[in-house]
Amino acid sequence: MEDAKIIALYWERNEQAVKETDNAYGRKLFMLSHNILNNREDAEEQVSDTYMAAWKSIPPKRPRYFYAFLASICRNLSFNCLDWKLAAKRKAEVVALTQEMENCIPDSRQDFQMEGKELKRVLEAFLDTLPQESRLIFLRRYLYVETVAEIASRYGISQSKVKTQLHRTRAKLYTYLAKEGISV
Amino acid sequence: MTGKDLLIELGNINPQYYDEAERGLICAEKSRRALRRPLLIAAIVAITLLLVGCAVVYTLRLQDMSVGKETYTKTFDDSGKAIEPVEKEWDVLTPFGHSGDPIQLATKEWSDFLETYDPDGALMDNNPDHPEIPNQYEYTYSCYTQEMVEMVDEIAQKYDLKLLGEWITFQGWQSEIFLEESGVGSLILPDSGAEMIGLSGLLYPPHNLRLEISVKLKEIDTKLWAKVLYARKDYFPGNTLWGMDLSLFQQWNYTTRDGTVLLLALDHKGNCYIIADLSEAVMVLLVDGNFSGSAYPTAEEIMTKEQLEMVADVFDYSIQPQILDREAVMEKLAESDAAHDAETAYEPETYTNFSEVLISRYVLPNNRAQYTFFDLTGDGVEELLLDEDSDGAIDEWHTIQDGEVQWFWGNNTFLCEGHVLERYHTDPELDDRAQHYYLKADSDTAWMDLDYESMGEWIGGLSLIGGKWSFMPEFNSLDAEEVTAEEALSFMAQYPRISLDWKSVMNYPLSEDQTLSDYLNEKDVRVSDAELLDIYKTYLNERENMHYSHYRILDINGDGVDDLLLKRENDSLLGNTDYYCLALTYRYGIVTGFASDFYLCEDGVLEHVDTRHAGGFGVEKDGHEFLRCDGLETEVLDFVVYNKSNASWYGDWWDEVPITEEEANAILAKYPRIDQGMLPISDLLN
Repeated sequence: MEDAKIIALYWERNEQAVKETDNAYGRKLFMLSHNILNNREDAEEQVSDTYMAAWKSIPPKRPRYFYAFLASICRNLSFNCLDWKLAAKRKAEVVALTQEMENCIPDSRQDFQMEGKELKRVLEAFLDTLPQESRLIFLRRYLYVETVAEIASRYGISQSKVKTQLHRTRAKLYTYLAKEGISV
Repeated sequence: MTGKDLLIELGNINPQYYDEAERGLICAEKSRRALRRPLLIAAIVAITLLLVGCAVVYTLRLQDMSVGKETYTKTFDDSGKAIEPVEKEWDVLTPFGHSGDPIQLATKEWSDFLETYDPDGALMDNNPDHPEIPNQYEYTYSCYTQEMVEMVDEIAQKYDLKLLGEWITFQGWQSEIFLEESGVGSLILPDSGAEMIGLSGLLYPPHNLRLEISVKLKEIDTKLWAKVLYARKDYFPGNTLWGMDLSLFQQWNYTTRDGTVLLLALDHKGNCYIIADLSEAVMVLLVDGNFSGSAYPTAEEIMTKEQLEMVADVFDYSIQPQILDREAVMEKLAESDAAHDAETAYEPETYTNFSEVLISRYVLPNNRAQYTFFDLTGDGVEELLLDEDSDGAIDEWHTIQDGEVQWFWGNNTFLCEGHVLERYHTDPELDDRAQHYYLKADSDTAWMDLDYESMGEWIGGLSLIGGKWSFMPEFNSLDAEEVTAEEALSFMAQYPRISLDWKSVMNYPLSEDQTLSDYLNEKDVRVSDAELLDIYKTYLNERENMHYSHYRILDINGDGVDDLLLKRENDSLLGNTDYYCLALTYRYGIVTGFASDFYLCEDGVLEHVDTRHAGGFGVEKDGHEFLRCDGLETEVLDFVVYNKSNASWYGDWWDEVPITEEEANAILAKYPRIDQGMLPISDLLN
């Protein structure tokens, strides 16, 4: 079923909306959550909670990018659910991502604090500076929490190219945040 | 700020980035990695409970399942108010074993091993599959090294336990296959009067189960969501440990109508446990007994002891899942999946002309949407451009290829003189921000995706942030330089936007003598009261899983058409409500919704109620938005939000507009609720 019709079902307060969402995007959302949590049951629960959140948000919302809307919720719920202390044992990928992101922060000793909205703005502005290829690879890695191998497979490019692109993008983000950190 | 913060905050970026990463291609996209592991996507079951069971002649207590203590931090009180973090202690329980039995000892030993094994995850390689690890170990016991496999074998042998097989997933549409093939038949006693509405889950061959179900009891006016766990005592269940603060639970023994002795437990949030310690197995039911829809229910909003006993009475504790023929079952499941996929496959509608597109797209009047024609692709044929929000930018465009209308995103792009494109971006949440990126389209096909990579040569980008302008001379540059407003405007002035001849979509000529507006108006026929009721009845009867319990017929938007107000049935997942979940009306030949989740107030005002979790983990807010509907348009009169975490009132969801309690109460008092006048839905349908 197409997105507009699924959203119409939510507006009808028809539970079929959840089923159709699941049919259309359940597996993708599960993969996203599972990439973060590496735990089937937890991932299922986050996907279920995503549907719940969608149910509560639509109406009044009519998301224009429906999958993006769901993925955003699912990702945030999954990170909320993640037991960071246990992550090392459950999912090396998340630990690696955290460390990679850590390297993007100019100086963690400084009081480099930004309000959520401000950081969101900076990240979006940074993403807009990237060539599409770099942006997509960066987003697949840090938004969808995919491995280098998965990204390489998805786009039909070598793993070394993915790694190189990620390395360069992180370096750019470091510089970008440093500048923003000074200006904000 | 930490890497973790950055990683998390990235998730809050504009949805367009999610969309781009989902749809964008770097080169020809290869087939994506198929999911090897079966997926269980049950319906919406948001139960977050934990625990175990037993029930026999002796008095089993939850404490018997404890294998140790752990600390946790309490940061909110029971009303949702943030408190100074308090270190508390909970018990770590083995749900399938107790009192030093082999299951409990084996679970503890395996858990202890995992606690210390590969603490840094160094042995993990992110490989989605480990061919050298048998699936039974890799999936059911989460092993990723041979050493782990050997430890599972060692523990199982030590405690004389057999190993479970690789799980089999049963989706919701495969519940009949599960019930038949496993020999379970039904989880509900036939004379209980209860109805099992949905079931999905996992079978760990040969006998263990982990299911999710929804049940309707005749005694409780709420659809209940539950998990059912069944673990045989001669099989090693793996690492299943639960943390429970036992001081928050009341627990008692209960003997069902058929003589099964159970341990029942219930906490202050409505987390309910039904535990049957059977001769060969342990059966645990985790029931969502929170009827509030809130993370902080009051005592009146959770299941009572008596209700939990009623629930316990409807289940069949004598089930014995049988050994099944795995290959045959997998074949049946595959057939079922194929049938389901065929039934639910999305086949996009195809259109041969723009009129068909607009008729299908605008089923109701839309006075903000605009259209125009322009030859974007340079092939001499004009495309249909759409601007959804009247800002003059292209939001999407349509062209006809091989007799079929093709659709493309426009990415909020302006056409400028000199074959230049300006991508304009603002954020509705950040009104002090705007971006103007300019590119020169270098070929006719450059317009196809209106995307940076294919659009052509970068000219320059301007950003306005917090009143300050900056200029980005190179597309892939980080060296944005601050410029004055005059400089920014001067740069932009070099590329004046082409003034497209936008017209209201409603005035689109479907034919020589009919616009889209004419078409809609002709469909907007007023029918008699009896016909209207029939339309609403037909509409409801065509809904799959019609889930409304009450209704009212009332014109609440003043357009002269009686509206259908609906209250949904109570549901432990969504919470029990006493307000209308939806307002439907019949306009332009269709039944359409125009308001949701509201109380009726005096003077035709609707109070839209909403509970959200925003502003941090555990923070819960209740919003009250007062609306007046005029036809299909809605006007917001007032809005207040109560943030439970700091017991404060605000005028927005983001805590940026604080108001006093007196101000909030004054707003609430302006719109007193009236008698909602709900009638049973059966009165309408019958």
